[in-house]
Amino acid sequence: MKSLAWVIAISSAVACISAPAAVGQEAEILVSAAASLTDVLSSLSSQAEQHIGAKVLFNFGGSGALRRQIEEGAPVDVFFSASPEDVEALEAKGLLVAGTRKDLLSNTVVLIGGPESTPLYGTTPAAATDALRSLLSSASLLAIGNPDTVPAGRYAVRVLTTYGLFSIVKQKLALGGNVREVLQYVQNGSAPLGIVFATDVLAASPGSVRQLFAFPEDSLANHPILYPVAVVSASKHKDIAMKLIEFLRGDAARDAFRAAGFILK
Amino acid sequence: MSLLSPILLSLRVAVLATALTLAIGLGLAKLFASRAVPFRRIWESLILLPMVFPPTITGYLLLVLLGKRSPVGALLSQLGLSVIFTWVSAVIASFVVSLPLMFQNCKAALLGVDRQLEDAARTLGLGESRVFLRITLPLATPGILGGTALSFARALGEFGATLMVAGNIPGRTQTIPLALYAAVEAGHQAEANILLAVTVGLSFVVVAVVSIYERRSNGFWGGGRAEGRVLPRR
Repeated sequence: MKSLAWVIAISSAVACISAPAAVGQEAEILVSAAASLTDVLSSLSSQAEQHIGAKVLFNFGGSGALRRQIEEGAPVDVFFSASPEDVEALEAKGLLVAGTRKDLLSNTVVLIGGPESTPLYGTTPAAATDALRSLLSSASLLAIGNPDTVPAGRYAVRVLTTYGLFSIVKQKLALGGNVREVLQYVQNGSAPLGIVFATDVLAASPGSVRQLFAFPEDSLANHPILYPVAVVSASKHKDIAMKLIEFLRGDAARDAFRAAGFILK
Repeated sequence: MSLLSPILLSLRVAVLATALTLAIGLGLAKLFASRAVPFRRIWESLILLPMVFPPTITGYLLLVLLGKRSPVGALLSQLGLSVIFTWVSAVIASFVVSLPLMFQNCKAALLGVDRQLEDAARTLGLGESRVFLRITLPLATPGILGGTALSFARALGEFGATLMVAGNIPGRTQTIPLALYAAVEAGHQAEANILLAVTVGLSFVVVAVVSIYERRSNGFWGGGRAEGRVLPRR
């Protein structure tokens, strides 16, 4: 009994010592942002804090989970989503401040392969389709995100369908739980080919994967890739939240987004 | 990214959650082991549910329960206590998912104590609370400690429910598993490896504490101190 008591006593002491310092009076802006924005937003956080004169905290996750949290009243000020559907669902419930939504970014869907694979050069759309068809026919596996839950997987299915190639790969899909998992499959050679976003290729360690083909925007069949940002209705600092969105549209932020491979809207 | 903040946060959350599970899990186990509780099976199933649920579902239910639209959440926010997206909700999530482990272990440990020894103590004039504190509890300690170690491990590794209800806010609610996931996702190998090493280290400490204790109480380490044993080994 004695040593059990000791374990508890020591642990509680550790817990108390490491308890957080009292939170200051400074205003805080909490941004719920899509996981794919983690690196670029983290790199912008100190500049953003200077610009808006308040502390900026990020909550990174899948857009669907972030939406559920806002629906249940999580104290979020700004929602920066990778899926327009989730933003529209919140707009419909009046949970976002009307008129604050800005579709800031877009992305490109790309086919990737291992470092030794060769990019496709199609001079005409028809030649590109033929090259894609023969490549996908000969491949043993194609890794994409699970289209039910992963936006990148949904876009992958759309572009393949537009190109009339989905039936070829239907039986040999390896479904990743998120887009970075798809990247990993190709990086470690589990799958010879994968479909991810251009930004994921830039985030991968150099030389580990190669971009083989970038699907043009019109192959997305009227569902453009968008990253909308908006102020949450429940925010206690709507004016500062607006300022943050202005900062995200400013030059410094645009440079960072462009460097990370995003397309600016 | 600072690695110290997720480590300290994880320790704090796991320790507080384990203390809470120990108090409540042991209390519930005592109740269920010694009394005929009405609708016992239903209550036990409810306690064990988080073991069956995927953690994300547990997290989602907690989010709904603690959210502003539920009666509980509304009451809390009336009192000015909003727990969603704070480290307190990480403690609650860890508590809920580790309670089944603690409860099951404690119940088995309490039921495994020889009734005759308790009765003998009663015939010698010990009151019920003293019988529990001086006979039952010491004899059940190895099992309780095992449950505590499992609960601590479960709390330390909690991911899905925490992500839902506490969010993934670096420097605020990002625990080791969340930081590890983020580091792997972002391809930050070095950070991921350090966090992994810390997790492995902490796990070794927990296992070591338990096994040292078990050896001690079995008397073949530490000079045969038969702690938690009232009768000599036969």
